[in-house]
Amino acid sequence: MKAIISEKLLNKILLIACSLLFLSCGVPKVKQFPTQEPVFVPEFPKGESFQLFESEHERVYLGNLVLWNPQITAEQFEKVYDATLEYHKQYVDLLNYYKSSVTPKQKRMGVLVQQQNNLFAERNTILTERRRAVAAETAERARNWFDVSLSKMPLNESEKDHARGVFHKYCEAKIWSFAVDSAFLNSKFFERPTPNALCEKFYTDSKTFEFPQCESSSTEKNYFPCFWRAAILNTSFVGGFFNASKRSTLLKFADDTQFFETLKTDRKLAVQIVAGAKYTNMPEFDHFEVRISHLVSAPNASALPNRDKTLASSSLFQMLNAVEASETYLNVPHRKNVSDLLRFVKSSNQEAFEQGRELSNRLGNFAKKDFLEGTFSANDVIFNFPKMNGEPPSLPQDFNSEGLPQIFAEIEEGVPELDEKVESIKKQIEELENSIRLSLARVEIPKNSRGGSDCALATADHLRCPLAESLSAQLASINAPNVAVALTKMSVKTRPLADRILEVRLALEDTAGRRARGCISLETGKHKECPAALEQEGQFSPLLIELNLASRKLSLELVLDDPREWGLSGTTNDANFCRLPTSGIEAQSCDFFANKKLRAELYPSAFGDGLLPFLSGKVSVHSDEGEILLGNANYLLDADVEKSLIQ
Amino acid sequence: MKGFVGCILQTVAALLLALSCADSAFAFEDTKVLPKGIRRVSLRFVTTSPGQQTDGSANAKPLASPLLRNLTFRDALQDEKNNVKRAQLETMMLKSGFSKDSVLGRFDADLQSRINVYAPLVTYGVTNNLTFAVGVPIYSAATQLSLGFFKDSNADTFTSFFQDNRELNAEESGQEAAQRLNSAKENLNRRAVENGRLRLDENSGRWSKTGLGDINMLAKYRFHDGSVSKGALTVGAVAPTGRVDDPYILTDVPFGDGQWDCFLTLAFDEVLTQGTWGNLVFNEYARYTVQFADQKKVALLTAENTPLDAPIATVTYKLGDRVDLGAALLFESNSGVLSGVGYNYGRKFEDVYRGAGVAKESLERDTDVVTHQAEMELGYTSIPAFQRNEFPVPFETKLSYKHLVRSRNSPITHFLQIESGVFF
Repeated sequence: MKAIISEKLLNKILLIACSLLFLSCGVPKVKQFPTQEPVFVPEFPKGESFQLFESEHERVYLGNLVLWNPQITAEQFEKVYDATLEYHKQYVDLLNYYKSSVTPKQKRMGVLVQQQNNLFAERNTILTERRRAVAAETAERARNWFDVSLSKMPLNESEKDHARGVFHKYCEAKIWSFAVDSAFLNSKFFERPTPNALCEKFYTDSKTFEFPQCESSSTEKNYFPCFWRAAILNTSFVGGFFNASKRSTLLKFADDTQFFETLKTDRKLAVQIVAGAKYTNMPEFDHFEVRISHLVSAPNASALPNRDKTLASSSLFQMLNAVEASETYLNVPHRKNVSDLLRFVKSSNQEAFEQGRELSNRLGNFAKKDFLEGTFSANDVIFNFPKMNGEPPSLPQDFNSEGLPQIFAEIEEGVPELDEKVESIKKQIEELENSIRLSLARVEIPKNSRGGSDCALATADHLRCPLAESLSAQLASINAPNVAVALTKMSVKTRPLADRILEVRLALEDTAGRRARGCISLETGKHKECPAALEQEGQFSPLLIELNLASRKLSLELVLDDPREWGLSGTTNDANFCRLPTSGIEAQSCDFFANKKLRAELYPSAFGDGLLPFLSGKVSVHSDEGEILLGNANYLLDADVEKSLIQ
Repeated sequence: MKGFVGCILQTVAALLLALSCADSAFAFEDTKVLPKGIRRVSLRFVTTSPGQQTDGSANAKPLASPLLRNLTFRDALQDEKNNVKRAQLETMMLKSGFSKDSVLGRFDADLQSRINVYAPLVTYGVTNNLTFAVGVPIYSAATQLSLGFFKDSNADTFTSFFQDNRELNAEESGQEAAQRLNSAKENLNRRAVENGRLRLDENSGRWSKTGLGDINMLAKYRFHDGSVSKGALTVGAVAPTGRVDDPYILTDVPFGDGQWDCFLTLAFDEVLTQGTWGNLVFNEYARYTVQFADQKKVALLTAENTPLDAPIATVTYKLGDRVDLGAALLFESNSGVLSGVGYNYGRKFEDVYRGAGVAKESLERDTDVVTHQAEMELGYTSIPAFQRNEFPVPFETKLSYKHLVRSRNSPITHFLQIESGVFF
């Protein structure tokens, strides 16, 4: 019995033991946790306000590049953050206020200014009509003045011929002078201006201006080619100066529109052509040496007495200057006669001319002037201004108005009925200006920025000035020099090109310094070859760029081959650059940046419901070993915003 | 935060060591020795599956409690190695209205373990009162870890801050923050790997190993063998042959404590009744274990780091000595049925570390262990039948269960033991 019990017990123990062995095998079971509920993921802003890279216009974003000191503390960063953000919020508030309060007034002022301009135009039209009437009457008298005066003089025929010869040379020389030294080179006229109204009868008789280029037009046009053509074909100087080949070349140029455009912008060249100097860049004019002997041997000059040969040969410029400077000439329309003129001509600087100095030398000296400043003469004011549309050009301050007839002074006195309206509008404009000034004064500029501020609040151009001063003061108060390693200006220009290509230009510190340029396709966001830049735009460094089409992140990479050329030229002692202790970087000057890569990741955004577009993002400096410095492109603001507010 | 999971389970190993010890022919302590020339070979199997532990206040907590932690901004800031980025993140934290202690989410974890020990025991009666014994435990251990992360509403508030404040133009930073929070578990593993630790989810969170434990040797001398009372003294040593806790593996189980131990046990038996049906014996014992100093690699955990990134260093340590006291009522029937109930008290004094710097406090904290165990046993021995020539082989087999009634700084673990042996 005991054995049976023991056996049963043993079996049970063995059964439990086996079960235990079985259960003790395998992997312990653990609780299975549910899948994590995802954390909210911010989305990139959408909408037109943020599609800055798709803009149809060129945009320029200006702001700061800040490379943080690697030892920056959170407290310092927070203060910079607060100050910077507050600055931009204030600026947006300011813009909003400006937009709601100032802009409407400016628009109203714009209407008034337009009304004022209309009145001015109306007044000017009246004055122009008066000037034209007086000019027509005076021109007729001037046209006949020489013959009338000559006929009244007690001269024999030989002396009269001599006088006519000198006068004709003078008139021809005036054509050359006008072609070279006129203030009207780029001006347009309804009819041909006159080099000198006294010479118009001579010009008519000699058919000097009978060219298509000289014909009057229903619309305004430039008569510059007309004068060159007349000077080349119809003045006796050309026959003496230039051989047939050179004359032919000149004629070819006289028909070349582009050549005249060049002459208009390069008046020194025009003078040099007249002077016959050497032109290394223009072989057609090589070896044009104008010597006094040419003039002396010229057909028209050879018949003159020796004394007058000298006068004639020197008449081109010297005589013109002398004649025009004389009181006699200036008052010609009203009085005097040719004998006074001739007397003056004969007596002027005769001794100097007789010393036999070569004309080429004098002309050469004349041509050496850096730029011949065209000036207006009394002839221009009286006869040529009325041939122009609208308000006549402004006379230089040193213009001698004594030569103007009294009638012209009376014309300028004004149109009373219109002047009264102008005064009324002027008054309204002034009131609006005061109102705008008051509106701007109410803008809550931080008080600590007002004292000693150089900022003018009257114009929108300076809106940000006091805010910027405030920001500077706050940065200084948090010991800003220890916050950043480099602080420099940064500009990013985006320009849409054909085929949905976006050109991006990057400049640091000074847009006149080194610049980088790159292009991307807005379809793919990938790099594209940029079209060749215009020559006058200078050289660009390559800028690697990429656009993330989903996030609108614009990635830029630039090699700072020479930091100084990129504006990072300071030392630790400079005000803005690299002046900070940079433990761990071993940099005491901006040379540290040499051949490092500057990378920027810029995102488009906008303050105030699209009111103020900007780019901002991360900036970093990399060596071959990896990232060295981290920074921010700090609110690169759309530079056109303020301008648009003013318009 | 308590140290590694392995440190906790080290206490299990210590408890198992006692069970696998060769000083007792039975699960309960007693004064029995083998007759001269008699040998006994037995196999003891112990299994336990601790899943909880008690803290210094005797409160239960999950074994994975070192991993149960909040993810705060402070953690996120510590995780950011770039100083500038860290300053920017801290600024965004302040601007969004949070502090470093603000919670972004919570890590949850469940760690379960199973430890089996197979201990062959060889006992030899040198004299009628002196017995030598050697135990060679073989460990087979596995742990299974499951990790979870639950976001806090602060996380959404923080990432929304980037979208709600368009003037910051920092949506990508917000996305980056969201991404890091959404991959919190992966980041935890990344941090572990970066610091040389084994990934927590390596092989689906499972760790297992089989190996030799600490070998123990002893000599038991019965100095008193009366008809009613008996007394025995046991001295022994434990060799550091088992693998110690690997500080680079957060979920491993040590098979030994890494240094030599020696112990002394004094046991007494009192025969309460003796009849034809068997004996009823009351036993009491006391053991003192000295754990010698040694060196090992540990994670220098401080308030500034976590088990994931605490530096690893070799330090000198001395585990606290142990005191074990117990009493049991044993019944041995003449038919061979064995049974008993008992109570054990164990106390391990505080560990001492040297050369651990500021981590000393963390290493020594919560190392003063107290356990109260109830024990019961049911078994059968063929010795009486063998002596009556009713069974050809003298053997015995026992099934024991030790229940942890109360503890401090100890895993909550209950042991099941099976032991079978033959005498020859």
